[in-house]
Amino acid sequence: MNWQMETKPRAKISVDLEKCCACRCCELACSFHHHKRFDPSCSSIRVHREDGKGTLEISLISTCDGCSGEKLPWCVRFCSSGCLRVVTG
Amino acid sequence: MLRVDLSSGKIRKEESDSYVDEFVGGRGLGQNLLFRELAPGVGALDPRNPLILAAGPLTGTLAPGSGRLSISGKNLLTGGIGSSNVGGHFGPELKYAGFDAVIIEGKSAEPVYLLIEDGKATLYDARHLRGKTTWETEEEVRRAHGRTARILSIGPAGERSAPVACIIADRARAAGRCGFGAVMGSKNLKAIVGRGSLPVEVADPDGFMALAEKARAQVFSTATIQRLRTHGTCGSVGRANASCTIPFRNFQDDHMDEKKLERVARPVFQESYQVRNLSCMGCFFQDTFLYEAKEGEYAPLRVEGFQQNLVWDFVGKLEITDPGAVLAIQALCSKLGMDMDNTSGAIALAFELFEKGIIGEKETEGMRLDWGDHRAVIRLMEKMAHGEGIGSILNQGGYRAAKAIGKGAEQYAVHIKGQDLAEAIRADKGWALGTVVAPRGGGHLNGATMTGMMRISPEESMAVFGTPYGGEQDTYRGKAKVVYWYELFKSAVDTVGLCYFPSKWVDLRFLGPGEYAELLSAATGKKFSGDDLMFLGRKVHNIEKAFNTLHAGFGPEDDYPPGRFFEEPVKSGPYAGALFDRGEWQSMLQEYYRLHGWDPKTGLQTEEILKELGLGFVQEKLTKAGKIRRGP
Repeated sequence: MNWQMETKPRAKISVDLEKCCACRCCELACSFHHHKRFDPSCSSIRVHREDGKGTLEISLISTCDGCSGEKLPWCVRFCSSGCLRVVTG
Repeated sequence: MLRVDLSSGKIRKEESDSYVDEFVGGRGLGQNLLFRELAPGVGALDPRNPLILAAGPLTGTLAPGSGRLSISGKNLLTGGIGSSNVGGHFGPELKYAGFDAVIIEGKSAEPVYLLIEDGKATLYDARHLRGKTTWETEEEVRRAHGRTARILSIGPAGERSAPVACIIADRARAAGRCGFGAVMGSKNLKAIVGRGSLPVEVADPDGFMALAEKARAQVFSTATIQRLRTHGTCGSVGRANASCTIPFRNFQDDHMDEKKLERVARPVFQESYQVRNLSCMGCFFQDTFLYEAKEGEYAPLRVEGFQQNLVWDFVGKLEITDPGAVLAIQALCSKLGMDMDNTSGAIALAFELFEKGIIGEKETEGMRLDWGDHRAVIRLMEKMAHGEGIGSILNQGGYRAAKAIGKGAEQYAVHIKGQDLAEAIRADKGWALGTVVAPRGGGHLNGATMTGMMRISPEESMAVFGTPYGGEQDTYRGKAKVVYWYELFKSAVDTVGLCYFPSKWVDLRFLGPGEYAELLSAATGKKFSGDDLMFLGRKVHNIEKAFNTLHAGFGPEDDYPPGRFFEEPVKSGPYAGALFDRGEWQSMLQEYYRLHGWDPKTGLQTEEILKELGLGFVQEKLTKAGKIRRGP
C-alpha cells in the first residue's frame, strides 16, 4: 500500500507500508530532532504493530514540520527499510 | 530501579546509582544484584529467587540494536547462574516507563500481572488469564491497557513451572533459556506490562547521534548486512550444514541430507510464506519475517519468523521438513511459552529412546515416535505444556527426563551442565569451547566463536584475538584466546543493552569494543575506553563463574562436551569423522582457564584476579566456601 503524507511546509513524504519493518527508528529520530531525546511519545510519526492481525499502521501527527531547514526529514534519514521517502518534483 | 515483592504486594523505587557506577546496566547490573542477593542453597523456584529485568544505558536509543533486555535469576535447569536476553520492544518500553531495572521477588497468592507505567507500577488480578496462551494474554492485556502496551508473558508451561518454560515478548520473541518462564510461573506472575511516555536522555545528544549514525554506516557498508536483511539467520542454513552444525536426529550426525534440508530452506519461506520483514525496536537489520501459511494442515496461521536455532532444534534434531509444520511449531512454542532448545532436546531424546527401544508405546500412551513425524512432535509439545503423561517427564528438559526414565537413557541426553544443547559442535572447536564453558549451561551467546565458519584470515585473526588460528574450524589451537575475547566482549554488549548482531561477533568489520565505548561515553558523560568495556565484561563473567561455583558446585568436569561426542564421530558431510579428543580438549580448556587467570587444573578463580577486578564481595564468598586459589 502506497500513499503520501503532507508535511508542512515542505515536500511530501511517501509511505510504502509493505516495506516498513516496525523498527520505529523514525519515531526515535523524530523525537531526537525536535527534543534532543529519545521519546516515541512526542514523535510526530507513529508506527503501530497490530500483532494479532500481523498488520502495521503509520500515522503522521500535525506537529510535523517536515524537518524544516534540514536536508532530509529525520524520519526519512533514519528509515533503513525504504518505507519512507521524500517525494520530489 | 523498581523492587516488587509479590508476597506482600509492596512495590518501591530504589536508587540504582551505586550499582550503575560499577556495573553500568543490563547483564552487568542484573548478575551483580543476583550474586549479592541470593544465598546458595535457595532453589530457582523458591520465592526468594529474584527475577531481575535490566535494560542497558543504550537501550531505547538510536544506537544500533537497542531493543534488548537482560534477565537474571537462578537457573532452573542447571542450578547455577541464569541469564537470558530478549529483543522486541519491551526493553525500550521499560526505559520509556521510567525504569532501568526491575527486581521481582516473592510469590503472589493468586495470579497477578505487573503494569509498569510512567514512573509507577501496579499489580493487577490475573485470574482471568489463567491457562491462556501468551498470544491470548497479550491480546487481553492490550484490551485493558491500550494497544501501545508491551508485554512479557508466560503460557501454560510457565504456569505449571515446567523447566522448559520461557518468557515470550511480542508474540514470538523469547527469553528462552534457564527456565525463567517457570520461575515467573512459580511467583504466580502471568505477565509484565510496560507502557511509557518518558524520555531516554543522553549526556551529549549531538555527539551521541553523530556516533550512532557513524556506527550505522559502518555496519551498512558490508555485504553481510544485506544478506541478513534479505534472508535473516536462516539464509546461512546451507553454510551451517556445510560447517556441520546441524544436530541430525538428536546429534546422531552433525549434518543432514541437503535434499531434505532444501524443503525447509529460506527460499521456500521467502517465496511461499513471507508477508513482510520485521525488526526489533531501533534496529535496522529487519531480519525476521512475518510468515503466513494460507493452506495446508496448519493454515490459517500467521507467525513472526524463526531463526536458525529452530532449524537446529526441529529440522535437525527431529527431521521436521514440512514448512507448514515448522511454522506451526514456531507458533506453538511461542503460544505455550516453551523454549525451543530445551523442548526439542527433550523430545529428540524421547524419539531416540523410542528408536533404541528404551521406551515404547506403553510409555508414550500409544504414540509412535518416528523421526520426521511432526504430528507426534506437536502432540508431545501439548502434553509437555499441560503436564500430561510422558509430557510431565519431558517438560523437565532432556537431562532430568533421561534421569527419570533411567535404563541407560542418560547417555542420549545431550546437555551442558543440565541444560539441553541446541547446536551440533563436534566440527567447530572454537564454537564448541564457547558453548560448553558458557556459564548458563550451553548456548552460543557467550564465547562461541563464528570466526571458523567465517573463515577469517590469519592476519584478521591475529589483529583482533592475538592468534592466527581463529579462522580454522576443526582445530583446537588458538581457540581459547578467541573464546576468551568473545566472552568479555559479549558480556559487555549485554551490559550496555545492545544486540550482538551489529557487533564483531557476526562480522569483524562491525562494531567492536572501541565503538561501543564511544557510544557509552557520549550517552553517560563518563569516559570509557574499549579496554574499560572488556574489563567490565571480564568482571561480569567472573561473577557468573563464581555464582556457578557457589550455587551449583560446577568444576572442570562440567566444562567437557557430552560424553557421546568423544565416542561417536560425525557421520557425513565435509567434517565426517570429527569428534573430540579428551587430551586435546583438556589442553584447550586449561589454556582457557589460564587466560582468565583461573587455576588451570581446578578451574577455580584466584584471589589475585578477583582483587584485580575489584570483586572483593565475590572473593569473600568464595574464600568462605573454600573455593578459591592463590596464584598463579
